[in-house]
Amino acid sequence: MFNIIERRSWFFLASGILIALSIAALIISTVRFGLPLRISVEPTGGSLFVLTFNEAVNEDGIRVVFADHGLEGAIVQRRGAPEEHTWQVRTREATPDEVDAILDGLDEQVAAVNRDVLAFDTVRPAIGTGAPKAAGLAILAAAVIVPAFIWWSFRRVPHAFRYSVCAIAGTAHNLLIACGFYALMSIVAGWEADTLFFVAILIVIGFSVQDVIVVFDRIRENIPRHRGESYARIANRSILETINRSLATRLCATFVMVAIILFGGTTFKPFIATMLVGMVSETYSAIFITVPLLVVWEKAAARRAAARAAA
Amino acid sequence: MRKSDPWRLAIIILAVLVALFVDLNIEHPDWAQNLLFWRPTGQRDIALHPGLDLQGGLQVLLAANVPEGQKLDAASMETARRIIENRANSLGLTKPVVQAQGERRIIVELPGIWEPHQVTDTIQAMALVEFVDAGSTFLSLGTIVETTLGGPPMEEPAAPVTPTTSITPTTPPSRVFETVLSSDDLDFIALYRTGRNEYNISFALTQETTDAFTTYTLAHGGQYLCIALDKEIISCASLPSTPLKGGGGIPARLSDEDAQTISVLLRYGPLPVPLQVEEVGSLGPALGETAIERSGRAAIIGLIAVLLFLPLHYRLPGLLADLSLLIFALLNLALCKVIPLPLTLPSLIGFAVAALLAIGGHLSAFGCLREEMRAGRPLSRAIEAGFSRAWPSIRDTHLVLLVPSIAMWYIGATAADDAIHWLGVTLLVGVLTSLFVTMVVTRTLVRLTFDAAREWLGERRWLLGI
Repeated sequence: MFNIIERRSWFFLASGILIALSIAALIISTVRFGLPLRISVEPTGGSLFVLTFNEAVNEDGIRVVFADHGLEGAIVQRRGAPEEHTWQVRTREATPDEVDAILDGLDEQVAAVNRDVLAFDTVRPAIGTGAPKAAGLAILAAAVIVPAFIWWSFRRVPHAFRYSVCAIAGTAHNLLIACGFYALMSIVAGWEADTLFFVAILIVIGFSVQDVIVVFDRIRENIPRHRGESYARIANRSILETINRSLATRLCATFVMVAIILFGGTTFKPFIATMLVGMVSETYSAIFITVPLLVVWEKAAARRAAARAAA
Repeated sequence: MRKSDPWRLAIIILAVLVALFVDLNIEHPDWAQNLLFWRPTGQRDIALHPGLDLQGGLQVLLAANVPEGQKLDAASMETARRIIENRANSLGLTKPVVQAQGERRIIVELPGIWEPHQVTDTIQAMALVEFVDAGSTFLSLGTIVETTLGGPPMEEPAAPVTPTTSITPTTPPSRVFETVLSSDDLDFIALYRTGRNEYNISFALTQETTDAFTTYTLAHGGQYLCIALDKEIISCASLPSTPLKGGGGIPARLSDEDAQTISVLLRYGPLPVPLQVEEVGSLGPALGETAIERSGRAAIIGLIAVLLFLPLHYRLPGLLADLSLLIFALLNLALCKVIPLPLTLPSLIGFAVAALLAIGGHLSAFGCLREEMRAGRPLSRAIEAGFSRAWPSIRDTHLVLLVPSIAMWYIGATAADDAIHWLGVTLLVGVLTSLFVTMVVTRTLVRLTFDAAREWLGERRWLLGI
């Protein structure tokens, strides 16, 4: 039987390095942008362009020109019928210099912009859009409810509290790595956290404990079946018995996500990539971090109990 | 075969047939739409409602209709924007965008609406309510009247229309009616449905006007008091001989369609600044047409890979899982259309996550099934043991998503955050469907298939993946 639990120090080390890198990315991002995660201004105020081109153009081309001039994450929408070649672009507030540079850039790289029907204006944010706040609350609620549920669900297992704490540790691990990845990408590629980012994080939290629950359930089932075996052996057995299911499930999700990253449109990539990183981290942490942590705890507690009995 | 199996199969077939009927992209008959009793009449369409992010919609640019040079008060523009936002919200399922643009314009983006005439009236109407003293004349519905209240200039001159069906003498065009009360004097006004094409306009007055109105009703008992919305009569009734104090109700006969518009306009009050539609046009999806097209195609490739992978890995049970996943998709699409749920990227993700949950549940059950068969248990006992051993983990993996999804629903709804709200709702719906599909549909399908082909399968054990 392959022993995952015995090799746990290596996995802890690997995760430690990944978490350190994530925290570093978050710190660098804080230093550079003032926030651990650059928050985008959508769906808020900023500038609104209405551009009419002399010929048919591609939305990706427009997006690239805006990004080249520092206005990443522009929302590019077609206006009216396709033969009008008119597009509406929403960005953060642009300065007059930026506007001129962008128009020249569009003329050069995309197609000539008709200056006679050009419109540029500022739009004020719609008051009452509490997106980041609501997302924060939802994340907090999920982070409280999920461990509480595990505690309740495994209440018949001795020390159910430990199961729940280890599950929190695993969730925190996945959360840090997903956020660290996003921070890294915002430094490298200028990604900004928008509503979809918060959606991705919520999914990462919600799904973090899926594989953990399956292994825990198997441990619960295996304890009475294999009396006399050490806890570490039972945990290892349970991991191996469920690893097929965990990997096959994640593989299914990965098929769709990788397809979208490879062949999908640019606007979806940051969102899907964050979920993918979160998913990979979840599968890894459930098997190599959360359950070994539980074993460490159980072992330490057993040793302490033995020492107390001897004394 | 178990005794309950024929029943289960009947329920599954019925559910699939109903879902197929709803999913079909046809004009659904009236009786089917009327079954959706939880939705207000007039909004019982069986259709998908894509959001601004995936489909786009109609963009309406409104400009303040005041003489050039007149100073506009920023606070009243903000009030106007908020009223427009409320009205726009009532038009559809997914969030519109309503923003102030520059000093004198408001930009409105309405998801899934393509015909300007459906909405421009509701969006730009002033919504000024007046109670007019009609004396002994009955003013029929739709009559345009001139009143003593000056009010803001109308877009078109209020040309009096001669009512077509009226027993009482029609209004002479030159007559100017006296305005007894207007929006400012009202604390509250709303429209309630009392029957088919029958409504009641209920109102309450502000403290200051209550006494004056009581005196007025005393003096004018038996005469007609009519309500005009933007100078157009929406209701006319004779006053009772007993005085109306602080408020009351006036019956109105309206078509359901008109009532819906009037109800929205009454609910959110009159605009502080007259607005006029300056430009109307269609707008593409916020995530980009090309991006959506490409990502959609990519997602389909990924889904095909999933549908191929399951039978390759789990053989016959995998094939049955494919069938269950298709049923899962059919059911959720149908639920989207009848509940209704909007089609936005977050809601699609909610369903995708639920689908993944369903796959996980199936694989847990098949894993246990395989173990039981390898342990030498006969087929039918292995199925029961497999599903019942997998049940705790299936239950827990579903339950653990249930509570956060309700939290997201609640938090998203209170904070008016559409993405989180619909993610929560679709996840909740998806989790429940997934539970049904795993524990009822697949379990029954596996049992029936294995029962029917027991001997045949006994010789072809590779089909079961052992």
